[in-house]
This record gives sequence, C-alpha cells and structure tokens, in this order.
Amino acid sequence: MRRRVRTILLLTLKDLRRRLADRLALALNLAIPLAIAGTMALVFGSRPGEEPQAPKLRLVVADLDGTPATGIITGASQNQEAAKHLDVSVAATREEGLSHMRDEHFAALVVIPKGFSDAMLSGRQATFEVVKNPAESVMPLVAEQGAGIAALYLSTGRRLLGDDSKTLAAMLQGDDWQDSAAIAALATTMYARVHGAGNWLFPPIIGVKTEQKAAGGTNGFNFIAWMYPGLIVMGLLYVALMQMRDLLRERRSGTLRRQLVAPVSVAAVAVSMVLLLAAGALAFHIDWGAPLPLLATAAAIVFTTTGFAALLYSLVTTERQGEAFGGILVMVMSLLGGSFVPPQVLPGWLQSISRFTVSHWAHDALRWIVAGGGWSDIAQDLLVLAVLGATFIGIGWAGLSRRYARGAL
Amino acid sequence: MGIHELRLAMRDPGSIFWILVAPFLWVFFFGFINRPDDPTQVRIGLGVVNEDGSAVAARLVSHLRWEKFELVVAESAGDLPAGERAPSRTLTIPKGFHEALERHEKIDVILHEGENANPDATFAVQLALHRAIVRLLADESFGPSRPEDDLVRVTSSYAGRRAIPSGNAQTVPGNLVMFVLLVALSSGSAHIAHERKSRILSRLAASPLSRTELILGKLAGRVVTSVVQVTLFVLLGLTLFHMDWGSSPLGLALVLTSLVACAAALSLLGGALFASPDAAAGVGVTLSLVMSALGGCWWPAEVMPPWIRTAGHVFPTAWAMDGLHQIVSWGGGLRDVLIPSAALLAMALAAGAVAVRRLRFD
Repeated sequence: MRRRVRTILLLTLKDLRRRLADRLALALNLAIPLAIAGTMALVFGSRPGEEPQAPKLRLVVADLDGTPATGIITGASQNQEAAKHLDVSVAATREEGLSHMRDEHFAALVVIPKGFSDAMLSGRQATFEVVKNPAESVMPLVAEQGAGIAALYLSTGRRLLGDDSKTLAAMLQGDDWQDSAAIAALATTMYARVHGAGNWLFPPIIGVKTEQKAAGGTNGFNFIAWMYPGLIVMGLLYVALMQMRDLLRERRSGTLRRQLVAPVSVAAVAVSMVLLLAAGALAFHIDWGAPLPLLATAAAIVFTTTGFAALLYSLVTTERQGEAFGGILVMVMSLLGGSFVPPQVLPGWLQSISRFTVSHWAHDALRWIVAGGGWSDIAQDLLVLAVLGATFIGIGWAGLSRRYARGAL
Repeated sequence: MGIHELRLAMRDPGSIFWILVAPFLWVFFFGFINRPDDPTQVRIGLGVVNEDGSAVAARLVSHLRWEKFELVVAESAGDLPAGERAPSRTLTIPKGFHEALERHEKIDVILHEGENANPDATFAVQLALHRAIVRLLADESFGPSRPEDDLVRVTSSYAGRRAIPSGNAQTVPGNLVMFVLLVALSSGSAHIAHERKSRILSRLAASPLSRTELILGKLAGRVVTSVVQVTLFVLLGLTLFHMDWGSSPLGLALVLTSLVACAAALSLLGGALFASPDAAAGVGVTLSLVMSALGGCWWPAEVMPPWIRTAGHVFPTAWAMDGLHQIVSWGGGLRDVLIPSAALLAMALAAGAVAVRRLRFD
C-alpha cells in the first residue's frame, strides 16, 4: 500500500512538472476566469474600503412649463448631493429631448408639460411624462421609479402648501413675484407649515434599516468577491477536463500506462486553484478568510472537479467527444450553479436542479469563506463535495480500469 | 471551400454545440434572468412583524397593503410561517415605534432579507416601503388620503419602438454578436492553425489554386459559418423569442453583414498569428469574451462607467451593438446604421489586410 501511494505521489509530481513546463497551456487554462473577473472588476469594481459606485442616472428634462417651481426639477443636478447620482441635461422641446436621449445615451426624457405648476397649485391633477430609452434596460426603470417617488413628494408638498398654494400660483403668474412684502408673508406661513411637518417628512423620520443574510456577504456587498469564486470553479472544471483529456492523448502516443494509477491531473488542478486564489487576493483584493477552512474547501473542490473530469473521460471514447460534452456540462453547471448570476434569481425549479451540480456546492462553500464564514457554514458543502468527488472518482476509476482491461483504452 | 469548411465544422460535436445549441441556451437563460419586470407590477411576499402593535403601526401596515405586497402580518417573528412557506423578506416594526414618533425621534423599521431573497425584488420592496412611509408621514401631518387622491401623476412609455422591449431585446442581439465572434475567433482560428500544423494548407498551396483563391476560400469558410449563425439567430429570435427585429430589413442586413465580415477577418487573423490550434482557440475565447463584455453584449451598456463605454468602441462588439440597438430598439433605418457598419467594415479591412500579409501555408 505504502509503495503504491509513493508511486502515485511520484507520478503526480512528474505530471505536475510536465504541466508547469507547458506554461502557455496553463496560462490559457487560467486566462478565461481571470479575464472575465478582470473585466468585471473594471466595469463594476471599487477599490478596497470604497463603497461601490452605482451608475449615475442620466436624464434629459424638457421643461415646457418654465416656471420657478419646475426650475427646481431641471436644476436638480446643481445640488451637490444630487449631482453624485444624477446627470441632468435640459432640452427646449420634447423632440429635442428625444434626439438628445438617443444620440447621447440618456436613460430617460422627463417632459414637464405647459401649465403643470398652475394645475398642481390650483389643486387640479397634474401629470408629467417619462419617456424611457428603449436601448437601455436598467436605468430607464430606475428613472421611472424615481419619477414616481418625485410625484409622490410633489403631491405631499402640495398638501403641505394647503390654501397657500393659490397665493403662490397667483404670484407665479402675476407681478406679485416682485412684491417682497407678499413673499415675506407667504414665507412666514409656509415656514410654520414646513416646520410642523418637517420634523416628520423632511427627511422622513422613519428610516429603513436593511439586514441581509447571504452567502457571499451581501453586507457591504463586493461584486467581485461575489463573482470570483464562481469563476474559479468554472476555470477549475475546464482545467480538470483539459488535464484529463491527456488520458486519451496518451493512449494515442502509447504512454498511457503511467496515467492509469490515479487521476494524476489533480496536481495541475491544485496548482491552478492556488494560482487563482492568489490572483483573487492580489489583483481583486479578495479576503479569503481563515486559512484552514479555505484549505479544506480548496481541497474538496480540487478533489471533486478532478473526479468530475475522470468520470466524464471514462464515459467518452474520443477527445472530441470529451471536449464537446465536457464543455457543455461545465457551461450548464456554471449557469445553474451561480457562476454568472446569483442562484436566488433563478425560478424555484431551476434552483432545485442547481443543487445537483458541482458548481452549486463549490460556489456556496467559497462564498461563505469570502463572507468570513466558518466550519459550521461550510460543513454541509464540504460533505456534499466529498461525497460527489468520491462517487465520481470511484465510478470513473472503475470505468477506465474496465476499458483498459479489455484493451479499449 | 466555404461550404466544405461548414461541413467540416458540422462533423465536430463541439462546433455543433457552440454554433447551434449554446447560443440559444444562453439566450434563453439570460433572457429569462434579465427580463425587465416592472417593479410596480410585481407582487412580492413580505412578512410583517408588528412588535409595536400601536394604531400608527397598524396604519403603516395598511399603507403597505396599498403597495403590491402579499402581506403576512404577525405579532412576533415566531408567528410567521416557517420552512418553505417562510417569506423571503421580513419587515419588523419595533417596539417603541409609536413612542418614538410621538417624541418626533427618528426610528428605523428593519427589513430583513433572507438568504434566498431575489435582490431585484428587494429593491422593489425598498421603493414600495419608502412610498408607504412617506404616505404615512404625510397622513399623520395633514390627515388621511388615498393614493388615487395624489395630485401629481406620472405617465411612462418607451421611445421609438413599436413593442415594449423585453429581456430578449438585450439578450438576443448581445448573444448574437458574442457567439459570432466567439466561434470565429476560437474554432475558426484554431481550424486554420490546425490545417497549417497538419500540413493541409501546404498541400492546398501545392494545388492549382492561387494564394488569393486559397485565402478567399478560407475567408469564405468563416463567412459561411457566421452567416449560418446569424440566420439562425434572426429566425429563432423571431419564432422562439418573439423578437422584433425592427422595421428596416436592409438596415439590419447591413449591420449583420458588416459584423460577419469583421468576424471572418478576425478569425483569419487569429489563424495567421498563432501556430498552435490550442493557443489560437484559448486566446480567441478570452479575447471574444472581453470584447463582448466591454462592448455591451453581456449587460446593458448604461451600467458601465462612461469612459469604458467610450473606450469599448475600439472593439467591433460595441459598434455592432450600437447598430443593432438603432434597428431593434429605436426602430431606425439604413441611414441610422451607416456609421456603425462603416466602423465594422473598416475593422474587417484592417484585420484582413494584416491576416493576408501574415498568413503562411507551411
């Protein structure tokens, strides 16, 4: 037994040396997850300790009413706080606004119709229009929701003004706007109202504190830290498949015998895992948490991904089949297992299917590790990965041995 | 030669998968995930733990009922349904809520998001919660009112299109561009490198065909494969994903033809630059994924920082997406896609010129 273990170790080391000598192949194996993570870091990332920046809401406003009241809306982005989230451009007409939105990629056009302020202040219903950019998906909906909340605040503001709204409307329409005494009188009564409601409404006295519990640490959500574990698992699955493909190449070149004692490509997968973890820490500032749970998780993932590759190559007969079906399975597992989107956004039936994939359990364990989870959080994941890995390797080894014994390998 | 190249590709189960199956699996998956649900129309389950039990807390609950929630109200967390029927989000109105309001002190209600809660739905909950709170505070200040009494309303519509865009309007064009480039740059380039390595190219060079004919033949092979992909995308987009491809078939054809030309030229360039098929495929996959991401094929371009959105136009993906959005999203015509198409054709010419210079047959 000791002699056999020693033989396996020697072959594994030799296999590893051979892999490391082919640096280009190893680099290409790792390039895809690193390139995806790097691109995502560029697009969505933030520096460590910095809050992730939400994209600015870019609006074109066509103020056809042109009163001081609506001027507050068009000038919204002059407010320092609002300017962090809003980019407002003004258009003279609806057509000009539409053209501006199309050419310069604004999320929506807000059209304030003529007579808007007058209707609102006179107690009649007032409606403004949001025209969304059809070439964009997310920000137009944000604009629409924001407009809904703005409308609610305007309605509330109108209630706050009460009967003073008629005085204000008359001032806006007539020459009273120049009458300082009238303005002072209005300001005094409005101050009393605003002060009374202001204690409640400006800002709202009731806040919402959101508490989240999710693998991947959505408290202080770091998109890259959430995404990267999924990419690691996908990358490792591809590495394992490419290494195991050697089994069939070696059959062709007549050097297969030395490969059959064990799935020796585990060494290359382990090295890839270490490199990907290191790249995550160095390039994307991911905190991999306590070393021992990380080590156990990494070992379990390497074991299971290698087992998956062994099982697959015990079932296929040619390299082409292995590449095709391996690619398909890894892609489907990655889609369902959460490499690209959180499993929570999948419908219930797809979430149930995802629990049968290696990716699901591997992602879950790694995301708990990134979230600072301990042994209790990853215990179930490790157990499932170990069982899956042992099953895959058992079946794969038996299948390959049987084919070798009858000369089919 | 073009048809022959396609026949060769169709013999490979991997190519069949990446040309015929994977793109539509991808479109189905991401079209489903990215469907832009209107947050105001979605009914979301919300558990409310009313620890305070006061009249004002009850009024907050009744304001929540006006929003599109499926509410389950309980006096303590233990009274909420457990297990699979447990709500994904729970709102706790803490004890002392009404006393804090009476004293005009700030108080927080607590929204607890469960482990499996959908983040989009949580965003919708936060918006609805904000509306309910503003209504409650306004009512406490000025007396009761109902949402239909609101004086200011918003009407909302999409510009330029005949149909309301669905998740597929972003996903189908994005994946069309990505998979055309992915297949061309990976298996297309690798195939040329493989033919050179296995001396098929040098045997072809010894045939009566001229160098120009050979290169055009190889280019035709890439073009035919891309045309098959594009045609499938357009047809399946129409039938399976109910895509509206706009009202200008000519404009659409111009953008797609330019994209195919660009993909074919880049594929030839990959095959010319790399000696090893594995290297050609690996670099091709990596490059096409990065180009797709930065060109706006993976996510709506508006979520990217403006400088990346501008810089992304060094890649053909950004121009192809610009052209497709003009046709598909805005319902534009031939004139609207002249610039994106010209940019794609210029890239095709540049890549083709380098590829022709660098391509060796042995």
